[in-house]
Amino acid sequence: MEKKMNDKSRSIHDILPLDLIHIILLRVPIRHVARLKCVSKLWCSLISDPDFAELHFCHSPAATNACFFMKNDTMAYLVYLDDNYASQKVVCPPFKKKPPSDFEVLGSCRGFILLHRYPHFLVVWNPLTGVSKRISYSHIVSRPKYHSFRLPYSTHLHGFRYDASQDDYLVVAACRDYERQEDHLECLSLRTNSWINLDAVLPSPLDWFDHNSCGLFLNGAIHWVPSCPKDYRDAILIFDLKERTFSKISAPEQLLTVACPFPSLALLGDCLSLYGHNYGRGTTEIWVMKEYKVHSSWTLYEIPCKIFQPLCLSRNGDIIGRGYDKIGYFIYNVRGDLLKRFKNLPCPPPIGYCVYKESLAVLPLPSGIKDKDKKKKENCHQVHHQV
Amino acid sequence: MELLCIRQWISGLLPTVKKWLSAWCIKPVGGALVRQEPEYILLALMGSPLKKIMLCSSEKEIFSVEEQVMVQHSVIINNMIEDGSYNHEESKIPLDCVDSKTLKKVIDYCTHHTHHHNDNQEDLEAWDAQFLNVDSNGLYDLLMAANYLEIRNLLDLIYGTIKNMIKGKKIDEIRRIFNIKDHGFTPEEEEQNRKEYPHFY
Repeated sequence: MEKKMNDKSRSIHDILPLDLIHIILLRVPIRHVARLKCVSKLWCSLISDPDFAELHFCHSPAATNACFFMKNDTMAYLVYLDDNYASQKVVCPPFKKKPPSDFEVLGSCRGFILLHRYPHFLVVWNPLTGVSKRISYSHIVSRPKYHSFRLPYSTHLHGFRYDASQDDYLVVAACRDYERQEDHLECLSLRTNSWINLDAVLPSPLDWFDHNSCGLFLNGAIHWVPSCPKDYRDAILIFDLKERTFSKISAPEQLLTVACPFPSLALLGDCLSLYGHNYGRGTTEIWVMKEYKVHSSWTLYEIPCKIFQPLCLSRNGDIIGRGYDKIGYFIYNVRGDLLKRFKNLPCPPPIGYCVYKESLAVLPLPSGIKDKDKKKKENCHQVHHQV
Repeated sequence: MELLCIRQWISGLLPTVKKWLSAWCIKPVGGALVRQEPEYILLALMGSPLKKIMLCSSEKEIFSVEEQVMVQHSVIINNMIEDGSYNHEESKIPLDCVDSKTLKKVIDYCTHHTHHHNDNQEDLEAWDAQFLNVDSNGLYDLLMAANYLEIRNLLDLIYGTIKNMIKGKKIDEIRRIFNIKDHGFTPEEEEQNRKEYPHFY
């Protein structure tokens, strides 16, 4: 009878076929995968494969949504939120040696976070791998005529998306020059490192927006909501990156007329959502557009929390968000029942946070540009809260 | 005609009833139309809980196991039985890539989970933990067998165990656990990695 030799000199590579090792690596939570590149050349090549990051990102059961915000100028928090547990991690954004100026968190796309640095810089950064890139959009921002005093901060709009067909990240920057009464819109491709001027497609004046606003990316387009939408029909501005056109979709009429003057956008699952605080009733109204661009599919969910900012959906389809009148993170189901509350975790400011999902994705760097990740020290403190 | 209509209606309901009706069905055998044996029909009526199938390991050892048990867990075996390629009286299913020791373990797993599926979660998990208390080679063999037979829950269990063996461990430890003596990096690459990420090692 043939007996299998339990030879001590045989490694996992000798015994298991490549496809099974591949599956094992795909199932390891993303936080632990990056280091596995150092275990062996085989694992390194499997993990570095561009499809691996995509597969892991799409199918990993362990990828949790995290809330990212700046703690101070040198540190940022990542608060991981899930149905049953929440944990935090401190990370160090990629700053240069000289004292950093204010960084503002704008948004996130596929494992990368977009930060804005005054006056006209954007930083794209992956906290997991440390890769970062600084982008300047000074050529479209007005230079102050008089240097003795600061002119009013011009309006800026930003957007950040991943184009799978080109394996490229696109950064969109739009701003309004109050002095010259001009609007500019440009789109940067990180792969080619070139800006495309899209002034021609900009719609009517951008003076709807009074603060740095980062759009929400969904279905190939970036979505923004003006600070004070005048008409529910024009409530959401959309820029389709492929067609390079602007359009508008309407918000639910009740959201604007009843008691929520300043609605904000959130992405819940795969659906665009608008939420506002109904101070009269002491609730937060979340309208979810179940079918994209179908006005009749706006569905209302009322959360019995005065100031509640929905962040994302949990794996069970419940709404995770951050409360302000009651401090902490909360999980509500769609009927408005409170399922869980996480206290003692750092909470983000009202603006300047984003929802982020870890990924090993790398930036398509044009040749000649090196990553800045090697010198950065990652300061990780993990605190687990079992609730 | 009537029989045909009833058959279509009920065959949508239960697989055992479907088997029962197929027992009643007139099958062509050798040019003549023959009815199945009454004992077979009786067994089919009972849901044939004791119907066994034969599995043959790579070492040519035969294992007899309840059909119900394997059909519930292994997609491959289920497909073989469903499409009729398996003849109960004569054939055995050859599993050339699974040795006897591993096959026995796989059968144990499927049998336990079929008979104890109503147990509470903790007991099942404790049993699973005990079941996977094997050396790494045994674990790999189980993984390959479960992959070949497409036993979803056993696969998830083993992947989960291996994932836990990896999570949070240092590189040197991972290499020890998986017996990776030759990591494939050049000395310069290895030194570079150790310098860049000392906290991994």
